[in-house]
Amino acid sequence: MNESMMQSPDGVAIRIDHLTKRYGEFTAVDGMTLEVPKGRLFGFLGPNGAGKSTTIGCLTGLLDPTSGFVELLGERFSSDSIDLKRRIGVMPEGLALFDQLYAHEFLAFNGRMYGLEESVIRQRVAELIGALDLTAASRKRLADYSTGMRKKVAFAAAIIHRPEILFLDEPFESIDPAGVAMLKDWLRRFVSDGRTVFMTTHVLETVERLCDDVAIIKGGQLAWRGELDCLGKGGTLECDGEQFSTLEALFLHLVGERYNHLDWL
Amino acid sequence: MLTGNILTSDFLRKGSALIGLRYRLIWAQARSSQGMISVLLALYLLGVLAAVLISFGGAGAAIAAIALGKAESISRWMLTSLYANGFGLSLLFGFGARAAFTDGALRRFPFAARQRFLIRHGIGIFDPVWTLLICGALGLAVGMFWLKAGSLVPGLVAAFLFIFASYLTTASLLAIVNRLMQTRGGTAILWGGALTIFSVGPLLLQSLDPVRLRLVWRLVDMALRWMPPGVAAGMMVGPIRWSMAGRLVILVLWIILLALFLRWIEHRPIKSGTDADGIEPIMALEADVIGQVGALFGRRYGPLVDKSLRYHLRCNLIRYSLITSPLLVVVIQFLNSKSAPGGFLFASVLIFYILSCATAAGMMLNLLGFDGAGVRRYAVIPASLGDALRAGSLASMILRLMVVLMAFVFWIILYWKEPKSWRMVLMLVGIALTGTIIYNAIGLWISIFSAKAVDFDSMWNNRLSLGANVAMLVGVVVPYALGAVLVDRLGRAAFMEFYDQFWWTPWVTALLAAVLYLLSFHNLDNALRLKAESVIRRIAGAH
Repeated sequence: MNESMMQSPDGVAIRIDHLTKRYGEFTAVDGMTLEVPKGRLFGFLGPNGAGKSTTIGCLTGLLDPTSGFVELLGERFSSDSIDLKRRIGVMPEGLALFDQLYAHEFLAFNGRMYGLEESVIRQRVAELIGALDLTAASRKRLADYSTGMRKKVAFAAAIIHRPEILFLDEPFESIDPAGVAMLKDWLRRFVSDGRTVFMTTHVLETVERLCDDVAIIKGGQLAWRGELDCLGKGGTLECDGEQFSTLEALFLHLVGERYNHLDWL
Repeated sequence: MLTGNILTSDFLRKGSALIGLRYRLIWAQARSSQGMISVLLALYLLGVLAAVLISFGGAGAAIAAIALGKAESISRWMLTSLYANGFGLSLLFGFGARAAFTDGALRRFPFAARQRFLIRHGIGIFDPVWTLLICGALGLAVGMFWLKAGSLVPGLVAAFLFIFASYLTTASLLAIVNRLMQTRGGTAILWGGALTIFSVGPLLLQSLDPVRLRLVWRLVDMALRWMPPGVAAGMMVGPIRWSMAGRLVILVLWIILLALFLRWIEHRPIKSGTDADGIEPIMALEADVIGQVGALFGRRYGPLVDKSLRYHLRCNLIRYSLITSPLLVVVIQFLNSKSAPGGFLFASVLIFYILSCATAAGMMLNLLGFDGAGVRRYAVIPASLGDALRAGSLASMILRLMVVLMAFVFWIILYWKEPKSWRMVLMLVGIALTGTIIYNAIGLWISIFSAKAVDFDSMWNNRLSLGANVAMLVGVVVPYALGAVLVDRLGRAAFMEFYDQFWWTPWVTALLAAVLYLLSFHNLDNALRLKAESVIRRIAGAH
């Protein structure tokens, strides 16, 4: 573990304290409090419109909270925290790519913004483009990439500087199975040396197999938080005094099952 | 043939629904604050155009009544000017179908390829601009009939067919230009073409003696007789006769040929030079001129300047503006009143001021607008949105200064015969610097308070936001008008006297502009802190 990672003595990578974000009358996140320990792969789940992207926005500098605060690696974080931003990597919703750049230009841009040396940038860009199977498309601009390829580029941009916390918003959707398997392997290695991954996804099976901890939010509030280790050993998840053998069952219990029928279909 | 059995009632119903949707979208855009300026400008221009058209039609009809012998010739030239108006307005306000009605977007509906072609151009021709021109052509036909100079039915048919032909010609020309702009060599071809048309053409005409000049105009007039404006004018004037059938056939043939040409040009694959240059991508990181320019600005701004330069130099509209702007100095020869003292200096002052303000305004006054969803990246990387704005402004300044330098070289070469002095050159440099610096200072603030998402690939449109439109109108038109009025009132002699004594004043204004720029450069963060989320939402859209 490097020196900077030791700066958070309590072993907490992300601390969210009574976080609230309002847009006019609408409250997207409502007084959320949550801690994510270091070295964990953390799944952040919720139905559409639950406030996941708003929360990640506040955790990564896209949005400033209306009230409450966020601490990353033991330091108070806001959209102005330039030094802290150097220590995190983000794959935001919508990917936020500069569409008219080539992949190598975009990755080099990110490398320079995070202060990497030119020789390191060249080496990492070449390795990432090769490993993510993007070499054949290297003469296309990002605007002409498929959705899966764009996700790979955004992922590469998030990890090029070897961050201490990695925020991923829906990282696996649209990526081919071989690519997903490789990214999962990278993420496991990433957390094995004390780094932290905070990710959202709607694919509950992936979360169940990959993540160590999960938080489920609903209506901008934390609905459940727990560890998933027990599921692999044949255990169950407990919520409201009930036992659930899968994450999907727990999720549907929390957000409500919806089986509306369309007669005409 | 383009039609056949494709014009079914189901097709016509769906087509008219899409045209209705086009108008609803125009209205929806107008209701947004960003669209208000488009509405105001459009209303203003519609009013002006309507007045011009009515007077044109009335005057044409009146002249026809007075001198029947010249009715056809005047109608021919009036229809030609109508066509030129349609072409110009289509360039300015965007042309025909928008993104929602591209061929790709229409593929999701159950239409055949020919039906999609008809729908796209049906939507295009029912655009407000062309609807107005239809009114103008119909006005002329009705005017001729009213004053007993023409027949109603052939006149109305000619008016409709003329508008169809004009629309197809405009669509074909813009399709050619669009395609050229997307190829590397195409930009040079366009540049050469514009240079020839605007400089060599007028110079050649000036060199002709009056007899030969009359001959040239006679030849142009004769050629026009066989083109849509001339053929349509022939159908609008005079009583019904058999020769009108011949003209009708010619007009229909023109429409068929133009439609076939348009389909052909639209189906030609675009060979983009930018994606096949054979440079190994990783090697390009080492040997890149733009990267070296960016590196001059240090670790904080270097990568952002590099990105901004790369991004904007890949935008067809910006490239087009940067390449054609130096050609503006050609206009000096038309503004130069040789009989008045200081005519050349006065025209040069005007052109260099306009050139320094208006070049690539879409970039300078909306520094983050071309980033689209990418603008969110500035919020998550270790840089502030303010740094991104400042770097964009520095890139804009570099490009603009290059344009001004090119324009000066061009000015010296083109007007090597005109008397020049060091004072004149220094005055022009001062004016160009003032415009460049002051507009970049304003651009920083407009990019914060009036940001607008811009379609990177769209070539023909008003891309400026409300604030940018106001800045352009006030900044370019007002000084131009003030200068013209002052010189008109005080006389050229007073202007020359002012120049003799105060030729150095543009350097003082440039200095003041630099102070304003530096103040803006270093003090925009507080404003941006309040507006950052809204700027990102406006450009990237809500997620």
